[in-house]
Amino acid sequence: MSDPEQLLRDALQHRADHTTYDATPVGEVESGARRLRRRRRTVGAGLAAAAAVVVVVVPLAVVANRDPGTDPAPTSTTTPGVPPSSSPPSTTPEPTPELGEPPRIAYAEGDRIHEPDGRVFRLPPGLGVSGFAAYRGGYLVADTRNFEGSVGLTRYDADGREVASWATTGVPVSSADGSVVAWTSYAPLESGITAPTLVHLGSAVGGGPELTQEIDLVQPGVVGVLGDEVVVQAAFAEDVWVTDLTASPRRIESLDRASAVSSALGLVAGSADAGAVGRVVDPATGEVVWERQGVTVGPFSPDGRYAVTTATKGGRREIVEALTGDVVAEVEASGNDDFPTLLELTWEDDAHLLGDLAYNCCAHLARVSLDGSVAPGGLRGDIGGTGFAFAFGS
Amino acid sequence: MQQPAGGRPETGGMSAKTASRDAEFTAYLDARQPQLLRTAYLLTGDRHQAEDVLQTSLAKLYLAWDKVRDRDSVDAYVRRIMVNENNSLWRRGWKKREFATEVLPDREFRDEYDEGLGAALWDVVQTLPKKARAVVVLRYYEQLTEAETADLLGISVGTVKSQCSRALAALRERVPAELNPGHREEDR
Repeated sequence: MSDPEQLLRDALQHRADHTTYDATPVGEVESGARRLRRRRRTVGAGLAAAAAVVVVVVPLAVVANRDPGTDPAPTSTTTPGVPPSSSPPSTTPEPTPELGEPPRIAYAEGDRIHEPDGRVFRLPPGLGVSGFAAYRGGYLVADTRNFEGSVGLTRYDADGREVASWATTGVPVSSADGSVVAWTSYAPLESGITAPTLVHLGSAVGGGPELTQEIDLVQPGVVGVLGDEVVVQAAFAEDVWVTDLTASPRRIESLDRASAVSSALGLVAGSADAGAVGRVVDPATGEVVWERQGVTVGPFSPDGRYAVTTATKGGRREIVEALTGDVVAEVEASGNDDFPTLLELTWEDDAHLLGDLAYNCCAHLARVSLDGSVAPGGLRGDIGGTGFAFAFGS
Repeated sequence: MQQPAGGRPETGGMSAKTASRDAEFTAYLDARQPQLLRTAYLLTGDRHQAEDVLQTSLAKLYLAWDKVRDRDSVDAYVRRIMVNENNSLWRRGWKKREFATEVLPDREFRDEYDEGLGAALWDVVQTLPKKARAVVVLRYYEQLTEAETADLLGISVGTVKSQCSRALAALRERVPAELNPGHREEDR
């Protein structure tokens, strides 16, 4: 831990240790629980009915085969009142020497999704965006609300109207070609609603059924899409599963946690040994392709040639050969040396990554090249803000 | 810390399963509540809000006790509920408790050894957005890994990294220069 981080830790510990508290007796906890249970029964009846519309109707619309066009469009519950995204297409911002070229992929900041062609999709304010995927003319958007251990996932149509909304873990994930999107839905434990936990896979370009499969995992999240299979990670457990949503999911025994997939290579990256080892494995056989101590692996470049490793201590990042783990370049550290600069990386194309870069005063989007060099990525954000989000693809 | 007053009411006729369950829950409460209170305080910045947030969180844990299959994950489960409860406070039109006192609240914890830096850092932490603050508390106080923090908050590891980086940059920007360790080092 660096000196500033240690100072912060010491300050927090000192503050917490020198404050007096009144602990709650267990009897009061139980009384509170009884009141909460009574309140949930009143509220939950209405919510359960709404959840049933979303959860039960969708599976009824699914057929086992995947021929596009053989199924009606999924039933939706349109919520009126959300204004359509009527913003006229704006011109692509001109690059400035100090900011550099703007992103060449869609990104979200605040309540807006920006497409590379200049289109702006406006979302209801205040929800935030933790991830999104283009879906059937509109978007699936995971927000930054935290409700009972989940985040909200909302489907918007091409006019910006809310089609449906539910609880999920993580973000929706597209296949590498953007043709299908996977996500999960579940009823949070604390909600009192009884509903199955589902994995969903839908055609992103319209038409065809949405496949769903009930999965017996606690708060599962989608890691990636491999062909017609979905890689799913369980929360609070060392469980990584692969499913085609028709047969029973199968576990990837050689991974405890999954961090990324490469549809180009058909490989899954993750960790084992309680996070001590970063691994790349073949999900079909569990064979370990390569591994390295003390790193996490991912994401993979779209063409499957490269991957990013991040040291679990210190955060040093390297670009490596995806099939061997051989180091190609170390990502430059930049910013003020007193405070470590960390990058959240997303592949922009086969040769560039985009990531958040925080300096002393500001936050920028930065662009990383295959030689590890870092340059401005075309956007400036607010320090202390939520940063930029990108469509998450395999 | 004030000792908890009273105990559970007598409940004659309780099944053995319920009694065992309640005993297990009580043991967890006795062992972990002090530490959870500290975390709740750092999340909320207010002692009374912290007590209320934790009380609500423990009530929810009590209701879900049988569903939390992995007992090693209970702390993570409670922390997640606390973060969510803290994020939801504004929805309830939270009213701060008023306590009549002739003594000014001891807001400052100036330690003669920290030269005021700890108080300055704490003041800045309280200005961070709730999400960033939760990341800071979980990473630097609870010392969770980036992956554990990401799991608990339902965000990506990358977001955890960037939130920490932004928070540290904000601290560096706002902590008075004379309290900056680098500045003081130069003066020696």
